[in-house]
Amino acid sequence: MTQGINLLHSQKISSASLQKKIVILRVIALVILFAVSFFSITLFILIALSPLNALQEQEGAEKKKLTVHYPKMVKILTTRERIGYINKILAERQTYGEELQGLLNTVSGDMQLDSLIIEEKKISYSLTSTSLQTLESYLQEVVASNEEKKQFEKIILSTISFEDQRAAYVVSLEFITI
Amino acid sequence: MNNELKFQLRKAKISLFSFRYSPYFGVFMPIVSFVVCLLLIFFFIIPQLQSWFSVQSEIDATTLRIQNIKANALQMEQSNTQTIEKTFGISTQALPATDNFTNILAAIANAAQESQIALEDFNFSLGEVVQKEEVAEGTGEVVDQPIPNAAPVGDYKLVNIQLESKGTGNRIQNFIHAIEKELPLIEVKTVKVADNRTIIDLNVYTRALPLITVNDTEILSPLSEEEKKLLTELETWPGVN
Repeated sequence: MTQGINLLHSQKISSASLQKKIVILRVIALVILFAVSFFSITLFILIALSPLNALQEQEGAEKKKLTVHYPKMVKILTTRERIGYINKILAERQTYGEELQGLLNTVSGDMQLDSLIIEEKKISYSLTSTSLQTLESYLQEVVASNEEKKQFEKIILSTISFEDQRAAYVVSLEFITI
Repeated sequence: MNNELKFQLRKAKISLFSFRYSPYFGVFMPIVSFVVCLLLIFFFIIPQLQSWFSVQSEIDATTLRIQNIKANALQMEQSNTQTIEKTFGISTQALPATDNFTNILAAIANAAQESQIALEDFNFSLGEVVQKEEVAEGTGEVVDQPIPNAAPVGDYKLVNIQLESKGTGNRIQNFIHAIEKELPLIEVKTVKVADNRTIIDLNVYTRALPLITVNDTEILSPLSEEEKKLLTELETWPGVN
């Protein structure tokens, strides 16, 4: 219940207040609509004016220029591919040259190499000598050399025998490479 | 125009007028604006924004690719053709693409000469000279048919060679030492020495050239120091032409 005399007065106030709110709402709506429109037009222009096409054309032109160097590039890439596998082979392949040099270069003149078998990481050979002392010193030398160079995992003295026919001692040795 | 239609039109007109002068009409236009804004945001701005971001990322990627292509071109212009040819030659001689009889024989002969052993019989197990191709069942792809006696072992094909020679133990070990430092790369499989006769079983490594694809948008890095070092070492080995 209104406290004033004019009963219509409060209704006018509420109507004016509503009008004011509506105006504010309309302004906000217009501002938002303008902002959205501006944003979408700006985006459209930005995309339309992007330098992507020009860059793609430039990329094509640069690629075309580079094709002159393709043979060189292929050779470099092939060299790199070969080097990778060469490294792998050198790391994986079993070599015996160094080990054999270490073993057979110390065989003195009064010893004779009877047989030599190399297979699957294993070097086995037999030596003949008339002197057991020579064989003994050879063995010591081989063992000492391996302690220094660490070339073999195992050194096995397979047999020692004496051959009547040749009057010589025969020593069979086995070396397992690392 | 019949009366019913007239009645409906008048009814609609009255409804429109009553809405136009109702207190809700004031908020109708802002609500429509908001709805239009929302539609614009969801159906135009968001897709445009996504498109703009993708365009930007594509611009960045393209710029980077152009830079890389330019860097590759510059590197190739500055690189020495002779050095590239030389390193390519060394690497393909060390690990040849095909079973090159001449180079293999030259390597063996060179090692034999160096170690002063007399080679008697050669037995090359090279298999077929031309590699066959066959079409794989199902996929229809052309696949390599392994060459008999030069079967692929992992990444390589091994050409097996058996040699017979006369020579003392020292000369044989010199031969083995020499052959392991020859190009193409050779592995000594077995050696059997008895009664001054030696049978040596060797494997020569070969590897077919793969299909090299030049990716010109990635920077082609030059050979590393380790790779250069290996090539320098291989260059000193006999067998390099």
